[in-house]
Amino acid sequence: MFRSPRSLSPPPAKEKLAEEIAALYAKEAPGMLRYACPLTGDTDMARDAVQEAFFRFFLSRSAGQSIVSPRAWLFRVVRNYLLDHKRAASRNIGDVEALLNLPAPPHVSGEERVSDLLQELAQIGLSAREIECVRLRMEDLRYDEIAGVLGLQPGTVGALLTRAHEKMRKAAAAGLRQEQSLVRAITGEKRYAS
Amino acid sequence: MHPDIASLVAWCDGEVRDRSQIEQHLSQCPRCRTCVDQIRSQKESLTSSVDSFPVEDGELARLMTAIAAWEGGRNIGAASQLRRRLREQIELFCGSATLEALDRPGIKAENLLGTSAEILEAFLGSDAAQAIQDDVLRELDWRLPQGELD
Repeated sequence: MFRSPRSLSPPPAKEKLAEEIAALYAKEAPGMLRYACPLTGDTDMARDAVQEAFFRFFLSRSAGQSIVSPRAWLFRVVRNYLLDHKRAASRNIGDVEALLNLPAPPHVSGEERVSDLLQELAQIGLSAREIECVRLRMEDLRYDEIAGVLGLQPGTVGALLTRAHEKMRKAAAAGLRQEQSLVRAITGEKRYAS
Repeated sequence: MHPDIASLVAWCDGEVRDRSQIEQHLSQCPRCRTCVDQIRSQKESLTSSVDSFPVEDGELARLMTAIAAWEGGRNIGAASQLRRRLREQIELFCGSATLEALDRPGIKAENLLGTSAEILEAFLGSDAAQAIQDDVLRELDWRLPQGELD
């Protein structure tokens, strides 16, 4: 979804490409950083991931590649970059949820680090995928863009967001405290509040 | 008949093509309007609680300096690294004859990236080509030492 077939075209002129990257950076970098920080738990690494995404974007555009949705492309690189780093640091290679520092479903046990915050979240029952969809939607990505970032079908994104909504609605009905916990868990507010 | 919750969520997200059908229903159905209000308020509650992460001064400048260094041929190590990785992938998937045809003398590493991606996409499909490109670009040592940034 990121590159159209036979998408190679003459690369843009240096100045034009620099302008394109600077404009995209101003528009997307704050949202990418906001997305990356809670995923990694490390602000420096989140900043590295954002820089990495933009440099790869530069290389791909220099190579003459047209990128259909630069925003989704950049978010995907950030996510994969962080996953790679977590994989390298973790013995638990297969467990994407643990790698993303997100809660495993309640029935899954493991050695993943589950903070009190994530335990609360697990009690409410949002899956890692649902949280990721909500987070990306909060950054205003369209369903097809979210699908591209996470490697899902757009229809699946709709279903995950609907399920997340239902769980949040039930949590809200059960009491405000739970809803606030959920908001904190999704946004990373607890760890990153200034 | 009421639209299902998935349709209302999608409608609130601007993801429904024919919006008029749901709009017409909402104009006549207080129950679904309440549901839409709930969805919107939930979204607002999440959005308003999002922390802002201001980009630090100098981050864009560092990136642009690294880009200028690459374009000016001053990051030879990373360009060689990229070329070597691309050569490995092209040879693996397309054979050595294709490699020699693509990696002509004087071709820049980023141009080799473009042509190899096009060929890999034609043979393996866009997802596989993208995965290979991700692999090639992973941990590419493009960052400049601090001294060269100043």
